[in-house]
Amino acid sequence: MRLGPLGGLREIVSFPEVPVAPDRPSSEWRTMSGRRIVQRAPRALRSWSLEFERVPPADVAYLTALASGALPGPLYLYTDAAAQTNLLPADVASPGQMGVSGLPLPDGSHPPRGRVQVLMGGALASLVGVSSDPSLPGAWTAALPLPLGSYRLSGWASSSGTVIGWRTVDASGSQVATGTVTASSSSGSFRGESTVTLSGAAVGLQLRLVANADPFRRVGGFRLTAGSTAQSLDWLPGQGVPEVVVDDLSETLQLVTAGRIAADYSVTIREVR
Amino acid sequence: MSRAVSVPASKVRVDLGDGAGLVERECSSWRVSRSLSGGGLPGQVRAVSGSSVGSGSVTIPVDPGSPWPGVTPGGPVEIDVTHDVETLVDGGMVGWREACRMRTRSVSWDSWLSPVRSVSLEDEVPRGPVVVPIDLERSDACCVVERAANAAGLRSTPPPAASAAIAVPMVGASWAERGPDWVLTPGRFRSNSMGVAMLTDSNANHTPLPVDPESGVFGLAPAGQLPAGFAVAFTVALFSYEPDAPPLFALARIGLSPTSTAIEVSADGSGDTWLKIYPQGQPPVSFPLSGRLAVDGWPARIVVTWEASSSNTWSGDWRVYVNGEPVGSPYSYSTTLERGSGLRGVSQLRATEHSGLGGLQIGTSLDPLDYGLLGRETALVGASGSPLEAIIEPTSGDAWAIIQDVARATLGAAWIDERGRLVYRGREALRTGPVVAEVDALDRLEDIPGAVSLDEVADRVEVTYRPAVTAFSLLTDLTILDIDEVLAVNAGATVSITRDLDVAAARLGRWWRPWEDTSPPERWCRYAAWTAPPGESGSAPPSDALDVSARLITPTRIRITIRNTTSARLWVYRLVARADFTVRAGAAVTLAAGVSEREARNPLSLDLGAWVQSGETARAILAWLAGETSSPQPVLSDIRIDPDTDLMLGDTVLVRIDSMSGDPADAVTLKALISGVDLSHTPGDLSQSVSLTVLAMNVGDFNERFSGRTVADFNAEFAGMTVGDLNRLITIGGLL
Repeated sequence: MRLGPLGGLREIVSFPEVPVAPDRPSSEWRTMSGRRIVQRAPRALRSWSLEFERVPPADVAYLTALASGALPGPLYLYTDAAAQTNLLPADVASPGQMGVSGLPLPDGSHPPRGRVQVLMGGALASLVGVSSDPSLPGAWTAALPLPLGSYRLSGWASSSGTVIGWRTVDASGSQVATGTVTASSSSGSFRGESTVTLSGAAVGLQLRLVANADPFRRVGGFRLTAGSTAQSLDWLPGQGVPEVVVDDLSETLQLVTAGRIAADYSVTIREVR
Repeated sequence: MSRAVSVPASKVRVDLGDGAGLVERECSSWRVSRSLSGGGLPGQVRAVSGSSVGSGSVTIPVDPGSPWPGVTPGGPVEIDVTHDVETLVDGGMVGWREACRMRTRSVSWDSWLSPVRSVSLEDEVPRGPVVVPIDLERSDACCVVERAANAAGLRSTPPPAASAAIAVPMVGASWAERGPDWVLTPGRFRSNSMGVAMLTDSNANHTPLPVDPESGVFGLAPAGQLPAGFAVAFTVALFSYEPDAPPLFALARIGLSPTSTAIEVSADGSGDTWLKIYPQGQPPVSFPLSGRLAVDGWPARIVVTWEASSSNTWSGDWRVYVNGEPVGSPYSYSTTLERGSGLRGVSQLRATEHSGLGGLQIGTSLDPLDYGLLGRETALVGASGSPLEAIIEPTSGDAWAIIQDVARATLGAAWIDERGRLVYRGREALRTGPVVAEVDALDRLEDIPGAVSLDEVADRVEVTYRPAVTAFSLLTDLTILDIDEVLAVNAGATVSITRDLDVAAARLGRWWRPWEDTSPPERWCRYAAWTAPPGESGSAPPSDALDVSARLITPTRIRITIRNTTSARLWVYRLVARADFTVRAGAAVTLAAGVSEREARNPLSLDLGAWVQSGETARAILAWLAGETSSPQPVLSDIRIDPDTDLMLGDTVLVRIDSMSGDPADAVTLKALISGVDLSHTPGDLSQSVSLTVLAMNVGDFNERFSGRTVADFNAEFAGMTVGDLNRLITIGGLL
C-alpha cells in the first residue's frame, strides 16, 4: 500500500484484515403495488481501516504527518490489490458505467455508450463501452499517480485497431512518453495490450479515447496492472488510485518507558474522489 | 416510465458573483417547488387558475474562506436533471430536462468556516412598469399578458428583424411592433400546440393597407423604386375542425399589395400540406410542406423571399424556407409590373378556422434566420378565451401584477416554467389540454393522500363583469364632446383646446357650421361662432373665417384647433365633436347561480373586471365555477411519484388506479391537472412529488350529468356495457 502526493507515493506497512467499506448514496421507497424503487448515485467511495498494534510512534509518523497536514495533499492511495487487479478508476476501466465516462470527448462531454464484448471469468460478457468522436481524440484524463516502473495496459473493442491512447506525465503535467494500445482478434472479441513504463520524471499516466471514423465502434474493458508480466485475458473492474483523506489516528498507549513507547493505532483513509 | 433501479443526476450552473458568469458546480442537494395558487378561490378551483412563482434552494460548495463577501444574491441559477443518467446516452426515453431557470434570492451559511452556502432560489417574474393603452380594436385578453411580458423583455414570437418594416405578432391582438396597427375584423385568437395565441377564423379578405400616417406612404422602398428583395415571414399552424377528424380544408393566405401576388398555406383531405405562391399573372407554384407542417402538429416558421433579377421589372426568384431550412428549388418568374407600384405592404390576411397565423414580418433581409426560429420563445402566452371589444380604460402598473390580474379574471393561470419562460394558459386550455402521460398509480405512486372539505363548496356563485358598450354609425352622429362655452379668438390667432372624453372614440367627422351641409345639424362636427361677444350685436362670420380641425390624441383625448383667418376678433359659442365609433365601459353586470342571496351560507363572488366583457364568456365562467364548487372534490397533494422529469406544471395526465381488491368495478381513472410539482435531489435520490387537481370532466360534470337520476336510469342508459367500457368513456370524456 502506497500513500502520498503525486510523485511521492510511499510504501506504508499494512497488516491483514484491512476492511474496505464502500459508500454509495442510494434511496429506496415502494409504490402502492409494492414495487421497490431504488435510486443510486453514479459513484461509490471507499474507506480503508488500518490497525497497528504495539508499534512505536516512529512507525506511524508518516501517517500522522499526512493526517495533520504537515505533508500537504492532495493525497493518493495506491494499493497492492489494485496493482494486481486494475489500477484504473472504475469509470475509466469501464467508461460509461452508471452513465458516467471517465474518458470524455474533446469538449468534456460524455461519449455515446454501447456494448463491448470482454472476457470475464473465462467467458465473454457484454460490458458497457463508449465510442470516440469520429474525427477527434478525446480529452486526456486526470493524471493517475503511479510509482516508477513497468505496467501493462489493455483494452477491448468491438473491432480491431487502436483502442486507447496513453501518455506519461511529470509533476507539472508535461508529457514524458506516449503510445497507444492496438486491438486484434482475441477470444471471440478484439483485445490489445501494451507495456507502459514510467521512468525518469514521470509521475502519472493519462489516457484518452482515440479518433475513429466508425461512430458505432465501441471500446471499453480497460485494465492497468503493475509489472511487465502479460495480463491474463480476463478483465477485472477498476479500483483506481483514488484521492483520499487520512483521518487523525486513534491511539491507545500500551507501554511507555524511558526508552520505549508502544501503542495501538487505528486510522481510516477515506476516498474523496 | 423509469426503471426500478435508476441513477439520477443533475447539473447545476450558478453565478458565484466572481465575474466568471455561470459555472457548473457539484452540488450536494437542491430543491425546486412550483404550485398554482392565489386568486382567493377554493382549492379545487384555484388549482386550475391563478399563478405560480416557483421557489427552491441549492447547496453550493465554495472554496475555503470567509463567507463575506461571497456569493451575491440576484445571480442566475440553472439546474438540469435526468432521472436516469445510466440510460441517457443509449437513446432511451430519458433525457436531460430543465428543472429551473431561477435567480438567487438569499445566501446563508451555517458557520463562518462552512464549505457550503445555502442559496434560496426564486423564479424571475416579469417586472417593470407597463402601460396598456386604450385600444378600440377587437382582441383577446391574453394580449395584455403579452404586452406586459414584452415590457419585461419576454415575448411569444420571434423579435422583429432589423430590416422588418412590418411586424405584427398577432398574439391576441393586431398591435403592430413595426408599421401601423391593423384592423382585423372579424377574427379571433386560438392557441397553437406550443401554447401561443394566433390569429384564426379571420375572413377579412381585405384588411386596410398599412399606410404611414405621417408620409401617407408605407413600403419597403421609396416611391418609384423596387426593393432589391424582400421576405415575408410568418408562423402558421393548421388545426382540425373536430378532434380526430381529418381537416376539410385549411388555409392561411397573405396577399401582397398592390400586386395580386399571394402566399398561401393549405392542407388537403389526405393531410398533405402545401405552400403555394400565386405570382401576379403567373400560374401558382407549390412547395410541399408535408413532414414539416402537420394538422394539429407543431407550428412552422415560414419565410418566403423574393430576390430581384432585374431593376426594371417585377421579376426575380422566390425561395421558401421552413424553420430555417430551404424547401424545394427557387422559382423564377417575370412580369411587367412597373416598379413605381413597388411593394407597399399587405392587402390581405386570411386565416380560416382551420389555420392560425402569427409573427408576421415583412422586411428586406433575405436571410431567413433574421426573422427568427420557433423554440426560442421566452414566453408562451395562449389565448384566454375572453374576447374584448376594446380595452376601454388605460391600465398601468407592474407587469407581473397585471399578468396575475388577467389570469385571475379569466380564470386562466400564469407561471414561470422550468425553462424560465412565462406561461399563460386560458381556462379552456388548462381544463382540456392534451393528456401528456398516463400514470399507473399502483405501479408508480407511493400513495394518494388527499382531502375533501366542505370549505370547498359554495352554495351560491356570483361573477361580475363589465361589458363594453360599442356604437357605430355611418352617419357620424355619435356625439363625444359638447363644449357650450364662449371662446374669443383674436385676429389671426390660433386657439387649441384639449379635452378628455367620457367615451373612447375613433374616426372623427369633419367640422361644419350648424346650418351648413345638407345633413341635419345632428351629424358631423359642428361649431357656432359670432362676430361679437355675448350680449352685443353682431353677425355670423363668413364660412372661411375660422379654420376648425380636431385630432384624437388618444381614443379618450381630443385636441381641437381653431384658427381665425380674419383681421377681427371672433367668438366661438359652441363646439360639438362627433365620431363614427365609440366604446364605453358599461355598467357592471352580475350573474349568479345557486341559492338566493338571502339563503346563501357560503357564497363565492368573483369580480372579473373589464378583462371579461362578453356575457357568453361570463356565463361559461359562472357555469364552470358553479360546477366546480357544487360538491366537495378531492384535492390530492404531495403525491410521491416514480420520477419523470417530463412531467411539468400545467400538464394534464390520466391517473389509472386499478382495483386493489381485484374487482374491476373498483378501478378508477382520473383526468387530472398537475397543479404542483416538487423536485429535490441529493446524491442517489431524486424525489418528485406532484399535486393533482381532478378535472371537472370526471367529477363535476359527471355529477351534473347524473344529478337527480336513479340507478335504474343509469342501468338503462348503459345496458350491455362493461365496467371497462364505462371506464373508457369516463376517461375519454364520452359520457359528457
